[in-house]
Amino acid sequence: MKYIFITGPARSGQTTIVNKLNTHDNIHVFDEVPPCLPWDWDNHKRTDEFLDQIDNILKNHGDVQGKEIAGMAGLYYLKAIPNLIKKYKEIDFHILKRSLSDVLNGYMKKVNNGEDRHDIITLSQNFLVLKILLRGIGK
Amino acid sequence: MPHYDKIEGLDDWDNYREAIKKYYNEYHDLAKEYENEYNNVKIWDSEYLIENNNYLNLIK
Repeated sequence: MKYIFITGPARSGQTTIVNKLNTHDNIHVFDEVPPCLPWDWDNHKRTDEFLDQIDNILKNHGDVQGKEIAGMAGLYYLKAIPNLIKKYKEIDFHILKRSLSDVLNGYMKKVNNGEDRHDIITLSQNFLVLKILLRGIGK
Repeated sequence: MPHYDKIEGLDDWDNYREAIKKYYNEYHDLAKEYENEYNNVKIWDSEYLIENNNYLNLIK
């Protein structure tokens, strides 16, 4: 089994690419499934627990049985790259990059579509980027 | 995800844009660092991957 991880800031085309990959019978890539890894990954107490959860999904989940390539996609895998490289021999990381202006436009469209309008209030009160980022990718 | 302080003097929309810019730059700075350090890390232009069947490069 070969493993691939796809990551990149939200609004970078991740879901589109995952959907294309998953049209192939021998591939399954999970798109934004838990555990959502913390940004302060380096100092987090649950690092080993998160790695075990990822390992369990990649090896035991029904969707990857019989596949040649299993993968995970999520904006939060970036900081886990050193740990995951140590854990798996056959692994590739693909980091998606879209222009900053396109990413910004993507966010603005989401916020402007009405259902996300309240996020600007959240931003004003807490300035917590996580909530906005996760909403930005429709999760 | 990172937390960013609100910049006084900017309205919410501009603060939102500034936060996204900071996050984007921080993200890609680290991504570049990892790409330089590890052979099995690669940064892709996502628009390129979406065109035609270029996404197949991810599984070569």
